[in-house]
Amino acid sequence: MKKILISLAMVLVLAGTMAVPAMAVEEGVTASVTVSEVIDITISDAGDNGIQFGELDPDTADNPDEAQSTADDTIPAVTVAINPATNVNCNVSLKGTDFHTSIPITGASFAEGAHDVAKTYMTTSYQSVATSVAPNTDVELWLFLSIPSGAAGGAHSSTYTYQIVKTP
Amino acid sequence: MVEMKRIAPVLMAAILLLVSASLVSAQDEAKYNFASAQGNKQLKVIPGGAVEGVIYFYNIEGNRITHISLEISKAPDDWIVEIDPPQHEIQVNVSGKIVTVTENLHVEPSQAVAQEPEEVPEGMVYIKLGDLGYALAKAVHIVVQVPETVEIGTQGDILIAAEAEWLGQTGAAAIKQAREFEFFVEVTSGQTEYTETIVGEVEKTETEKPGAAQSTQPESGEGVKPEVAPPTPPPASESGPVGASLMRWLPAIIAGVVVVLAAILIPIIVRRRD
Repeated sequence: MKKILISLAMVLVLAGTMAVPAMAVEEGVTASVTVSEVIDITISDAGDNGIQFGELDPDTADNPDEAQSTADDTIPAVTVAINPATNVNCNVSLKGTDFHTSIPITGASFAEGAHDVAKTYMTTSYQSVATSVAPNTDVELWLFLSIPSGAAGGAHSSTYTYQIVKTP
Repeated sequence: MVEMKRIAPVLMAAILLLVSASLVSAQDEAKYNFASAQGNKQLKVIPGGAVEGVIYFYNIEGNRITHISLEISKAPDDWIVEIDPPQHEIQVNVSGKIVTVTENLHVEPSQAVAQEPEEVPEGMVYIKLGDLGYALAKAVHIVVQVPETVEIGTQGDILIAAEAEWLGQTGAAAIKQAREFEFFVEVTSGQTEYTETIVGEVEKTETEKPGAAQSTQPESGEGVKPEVAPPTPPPASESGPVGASLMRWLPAIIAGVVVVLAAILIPIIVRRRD
């Protein structure tokens, strides 16, 4: 009788162990996470004196920034660095303001990636410079300025605004 | 050997000179850094309530103070959107010249640190930037207040335009940076407790009933969106709710059979042995 009871108890324990997982209640919990969107951009120019086109004569086209390389691609006028902290791809655009009513921004242009590639002429609205630029990448720009024949004498200045946004 | 001893100090001096020269030029080169971290873009608010979005600004890659001004470029008409800190004027001494700047905030250059410091300067926070460590940042709060009358389910897009500028630029073309921050605000009931009530079955039209001819594509571009998703066959690994239930209880059924068999067989075996 004792043997029967011990054997039955062992069988019951084994059976219980098998049955417990089936009786467990399964629950699904929704998990969500939000990662901050980081955009970290540094702009630097080649010279230590800002973007300078120097003294220019009227009726001259595509005068280069004084500090940039003109014969090779070694020194861009401006470098837009998409820093490593950035965690999205970025679109880079550029717009500018008129240097003077007689020197419109449409006379200014940029070449992206090399000094002798096709130039994009600027306007007061954003012009695309580069799209879907990955983090830890530099966008290099060579800058030029044309002076019309009727340009007013004197020192004139503009503001170049670089818009960097997440690539949609 | 004697020659080498004479040349060594000269070489050392030349190397030091080169290193210090490169350091000076590195200091001179202006680095205009505009860095932001935007938290949750999806915001929820109850009718008549307010919700807050946050944007952090830091400056660990630059060597000039970044002056940032923000403005609301898009928001639903009757919603109130405020930027904290608001735009204000400050006076700055730039190389001995006092300049007035309009800004919401400015961020001074700092360096990332490996561990989050315990002491944080007033009005600032440390934000984690992956492997770079922690950066000292300033927070801008975008407070969105919706009217009491706004309907639940309404969605509003808020667009904040930011512009960063740097003082003391001497070039013919000053550099600025611009960026936009978007927030999607949804008006909800605010009810946090979960409730679910079956309203009733969706009445099907004659053409939708089983057996009726169905087309998988809308007839025209103005096709009506189905309110209920069409049933999809279960994946090959699944065998429907009955099969799944059976599979789940199979160990328990086997255990039951084992117990019954044991209850019958063990006494018989034990008696035979005795």
